[in-house]
Amino acid sequence: MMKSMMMMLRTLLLCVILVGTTSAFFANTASAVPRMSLTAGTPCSACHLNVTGGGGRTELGWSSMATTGAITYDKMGLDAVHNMHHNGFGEGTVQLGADVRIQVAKLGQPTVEFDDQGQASVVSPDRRVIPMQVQPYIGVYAKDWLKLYGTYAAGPSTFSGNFCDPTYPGQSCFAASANIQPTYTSPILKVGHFRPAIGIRHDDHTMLGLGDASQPRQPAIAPNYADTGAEMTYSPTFWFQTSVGGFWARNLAEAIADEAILDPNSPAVIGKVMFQPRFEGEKLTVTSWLGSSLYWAGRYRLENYFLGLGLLDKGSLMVEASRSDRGQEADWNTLNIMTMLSVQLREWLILNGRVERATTEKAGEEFVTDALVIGAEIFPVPYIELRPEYRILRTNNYSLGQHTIQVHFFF
Amino acid sequence: MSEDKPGVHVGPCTHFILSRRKFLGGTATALASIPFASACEFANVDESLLQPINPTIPFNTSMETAAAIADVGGVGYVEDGGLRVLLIRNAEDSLLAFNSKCPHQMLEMAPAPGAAPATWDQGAQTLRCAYHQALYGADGVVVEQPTTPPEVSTLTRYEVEFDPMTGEGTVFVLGSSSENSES
Repeated sequence: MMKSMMMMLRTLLLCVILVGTTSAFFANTASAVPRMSLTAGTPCSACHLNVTGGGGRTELGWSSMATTGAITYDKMGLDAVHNMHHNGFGEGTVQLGADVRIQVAKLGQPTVEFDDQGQASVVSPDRRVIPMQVQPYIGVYAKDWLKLYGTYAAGPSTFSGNFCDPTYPGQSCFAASANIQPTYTSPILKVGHFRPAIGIRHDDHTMLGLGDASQPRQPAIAPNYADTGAEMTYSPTFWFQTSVGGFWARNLAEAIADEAILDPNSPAVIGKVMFQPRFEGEKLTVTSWLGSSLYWAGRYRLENYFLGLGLLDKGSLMVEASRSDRGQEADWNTLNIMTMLSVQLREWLILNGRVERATTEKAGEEFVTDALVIGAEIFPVPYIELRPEYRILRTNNYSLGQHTIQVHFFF
Repeated sequence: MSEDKPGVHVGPCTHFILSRRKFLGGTATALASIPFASACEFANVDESLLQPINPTIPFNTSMETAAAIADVGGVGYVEDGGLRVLLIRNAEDSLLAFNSKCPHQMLEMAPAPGAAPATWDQGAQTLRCAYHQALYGADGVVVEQPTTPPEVSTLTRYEVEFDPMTGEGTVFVLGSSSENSES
């Protein structure tokens, strides 16, 4: 199985190289501004305070969602809410935001129960209401060349007085950074405690991409993973972006939990390249991104490869692969592959489906987890998202099919 | 979202009514899909875990997997069908018997091939799962939660009879169940 996976990875790599070369050639003929997000056609930094995406929203990011809903607030008579023009204060100097997510799902795995006759039956885990995220953001435009960003993620016992209570090893309860860009065309230097530019950042931590099939609830790169360091991002032209950086891999070492592989005082380096060509036709606009990243600390190495194709306001197709190893002596390798298709029926209604396979080879054993997820993103009103899903998860030991729903409040 | 139609007076309320119809239609569709989605739910485990078991599992310290319990503080196991029972000699005249699967992620705690055996602390009378560090007391109740979610409550404990003189014993397994994860 590992051989076939490697074949797939090689094929994917070949595609990345071929498409990258081709797109780099044709990109000069495209007539648009830099775009990243496939259906919106905007780069991450247009809508998020993080230059590589995720977290707090810029005024554009906020305002584009302020009218995204099956029913907008003005049609409910809530004109005051509808007419909020921005999420900034002090003439836009300070940007505020937040994400709150709650999920109803079966967490855990099936167990076996024996009756009085010794006959076994399978017991499904209970469905539970799970608080997933309570996270405020602040962005401060201190100077033309200096933006400050901070966020705090509440944990399970935060409201019992434990201020910093990360759920997963390596997770950080906060992120804070200074973004320095002397001129609009200069590279951006980001310094602080934040997540390195690893692959494509998703807001759904049930995805297998950065997980480990041998330990499903202990990913090496946890949600809200952050380490202290510096990263420079440069976009010399609209269709190309690259990032390089160095970090003190303290939280990553906590997740790896083996000092022979990664000492907590070790440095980590990140390198990432991303091509973002866009092709405009008379009827359709095709957006895309493709690239790869390498995150390396001690004996731990994580490679990410990603390819995305989008039709503006219509849909997108993403293919991602993530491979990690912990050195030859550790005999612990992962290869995770994901394909996701999204169709935008309305601005407030997006259908999506994804297929994932996570494979871990560890100490002579192979662990395989497959996931099939079909769902929707529904914005009944602005600032509220409903995400119903039907998920099938199959591991070496069990399989579980369930419907779930996530409620997401954001600002 | 709604479009104005010729001959229809359009005002804030009209907008609301038209949109509400669409919204209610969507909501009704979503609600109607719930029974379908529920019907599609399933849970399966490896068939080897579903083998019928006997009410009791006899063992003795001459068995290779249970040899370690000849000494106080020793940990071994005995199995029948799909069930594996962790045996811990916690005192000269006492033995503990637990389901060998940690309820956190159902990972194997017995000193069996392919497993990372749990550690028994004879002094503290606690059992620590090697995978995510969940710590259980001699009664099976969790003392320290694992390092990752979900939280757990108890490790399934079985009644056991053990004769330290002969090294023979019996685990009574029926009527018990492996615990679901807490959250």
